[in-house]
Amino acid sequence: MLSEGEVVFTPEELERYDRQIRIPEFGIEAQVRLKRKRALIIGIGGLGSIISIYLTRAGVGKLLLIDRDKVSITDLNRQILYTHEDVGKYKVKVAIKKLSEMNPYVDVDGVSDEVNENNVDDYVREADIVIDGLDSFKTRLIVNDSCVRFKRPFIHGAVNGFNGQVMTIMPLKGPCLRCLIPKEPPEEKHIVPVIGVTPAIIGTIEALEAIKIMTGLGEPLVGYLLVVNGLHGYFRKFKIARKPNCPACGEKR
Amino acid sequence: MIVNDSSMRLYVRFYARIKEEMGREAVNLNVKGNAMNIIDLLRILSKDKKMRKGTLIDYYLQGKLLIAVNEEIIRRNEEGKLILKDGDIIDIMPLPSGG
Ligand SMILES: [Zn+2]
Repeated sequence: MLSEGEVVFTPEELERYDRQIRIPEFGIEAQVRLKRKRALIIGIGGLGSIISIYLTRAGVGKLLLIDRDKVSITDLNRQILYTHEDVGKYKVKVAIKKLSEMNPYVDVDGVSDEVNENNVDDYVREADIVIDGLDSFKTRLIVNDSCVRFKRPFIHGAVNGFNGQVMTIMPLKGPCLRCLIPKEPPEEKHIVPVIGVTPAIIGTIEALEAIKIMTGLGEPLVGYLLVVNGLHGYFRKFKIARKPNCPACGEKR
Repeated sequence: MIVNDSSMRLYVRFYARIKEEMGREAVNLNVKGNAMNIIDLLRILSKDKKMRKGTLIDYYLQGKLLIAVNEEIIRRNEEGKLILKDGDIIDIMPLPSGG
């Protein structure tokens, strides 16, 4: 297991991370902690592309990607892992290849699968942190509940048009996604419109939150929802309370 | 817009698509009655303005809104439980779901 035993860096690897190791708050200690961690990204579309690229380049130990879809041409305005010639290929397959080329020191793996109530625990149990690249609240809530069961940090992100939101969940320490949205909202009937810069902004903040949690640095967005609107140029933090009657993390769970 | 003789004043701000569709950034409301919750507020605002695909209350029922009172998000489905008070600031935002 990666989270056990000694972490060894080659000289080349240390050079690769030189510029971030030089950040006083970061240092070699944070780099070691990052390499010990396994991150699970569920959904590698617009958000997942960005999250996986930044975690790979930052030097997380192991990255597991889950997505059932193939690349479609309508993905290419925002899903920056993929290019024109990838249309029709399984996203996971393309992503593993490209991310491994970006950083051969990261163990990148993936499964072409749909996450549901039956398989979610198998994936979440093996991860140190779970990051949301999903496009439905139904699946997000399934993942949230599993993260609460196994006490895994869960970084939530979602986008629409020019706006998006991020929330960091530390189960039983702060509110979970069900404290905010107890039941799934009616399924979105229309295609969600979005421009590439929006998942880029939101996915980058999710990756930042994941790095903070994995290294223990800073103050993650626990107990807050960060709301971003690109068109009007604001970032706003709203408080979220943990609910004692939450079906996932409440007293009667 | 809606003026009454009573004392409760509410300040409602709209965000992103909701702001575009309401055609304004914020509205000051003076409302009568003492036991008003967020759903009542959405109904009042819905009478005033029809949006592209229905009214604010339709958007709420379709699960498309996220609402905060005094900078704290109100849990979905509990918007009817919170009684608003004089001076409250209400933020009405769209709930994004894409990835
Ligand atoms: Zn909860």
